[in-house]
Amino acid sequence: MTDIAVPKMSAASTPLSDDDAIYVAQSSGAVDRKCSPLDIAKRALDTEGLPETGGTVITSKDLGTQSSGTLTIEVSGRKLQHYTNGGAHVLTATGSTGFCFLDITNNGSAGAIDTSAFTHVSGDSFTTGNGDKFHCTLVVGNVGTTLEVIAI
Amino acid sequence: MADIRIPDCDAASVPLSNGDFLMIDQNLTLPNGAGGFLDDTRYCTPPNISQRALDTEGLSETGGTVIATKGLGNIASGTLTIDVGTRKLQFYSNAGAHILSPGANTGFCYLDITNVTGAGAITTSGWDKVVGSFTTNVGDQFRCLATIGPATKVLKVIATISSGSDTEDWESWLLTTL
Repeated sequence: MTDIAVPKMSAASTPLSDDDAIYVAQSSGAVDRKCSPLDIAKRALDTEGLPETGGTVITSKDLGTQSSGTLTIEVSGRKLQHYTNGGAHVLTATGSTGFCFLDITNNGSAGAIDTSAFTHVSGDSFTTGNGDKFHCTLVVGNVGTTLEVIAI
Repeated sequence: MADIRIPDCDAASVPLSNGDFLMIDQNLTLPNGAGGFLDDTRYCTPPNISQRALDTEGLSETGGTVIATKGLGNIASGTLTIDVGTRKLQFYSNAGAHILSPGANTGFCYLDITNVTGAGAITTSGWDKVVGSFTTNVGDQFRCLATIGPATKVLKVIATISSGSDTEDWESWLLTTL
């Protein structure tokens, strides 16, 4: 069949939500198809070698204040994440491969950060001074988890 | 022009494959499984759809992209403000003393700097931390990583590629050696 031109929409329409599906009814005898906006967007992530001439502004993911226990970073959560060191705790990463940048800011109760779960840790050491800041690069790959620390 | 009505899907439908095209025509009759249409109409643009992936955490990614580097031109004076949101790979030529500053947008990008004739000192202003340093030797190149978050603005020179053609140094070496 010949292609069908896609006409312009009016601005008064309602934007698609994540729950909306795009439904395509094909000609008689063919099977109807469906997909969600996310299905379509996902194609780009799973295609190698696509050209990229744009950029993104990343909203840093706020992980809150960590005062004890273990903070496990999910690198797939966002490329830019941050949290407040409010007490001694363990910092580790999940098994999901990828990378992210992680900013840590000490508050008045900041404690030692145990990074022993990482495969390799490099750069500056963490301190516990109130207001001290650290910029970290966290990579989870085939050889393990690496953490690079820059004291600000 | 009337909007296109996008009806509900029924579970019996077959998901789109990579080879399928989305074809929408205003005269196309789209069933919703209940003999009617939604009361309201919906629209979307290609950026609307692409934004879904950017705003969804934890998606798997098995592809990659070839990034066209963004040229920022020759900077010979004044202030160059880096907007990390415009492209993940950017570059410019140092053609004179200038100030290098972070923009307001959060994110990160790699920044390549090449010293050309007239290269001057780069004053880094507005960063919370700068790791590494620059030279003014013509031909020297620098790869930097700029990361801007709500708590820190960091510029890290992760590699310096020396031109190896610093004639003044060679002349000095020759004079002191011969």
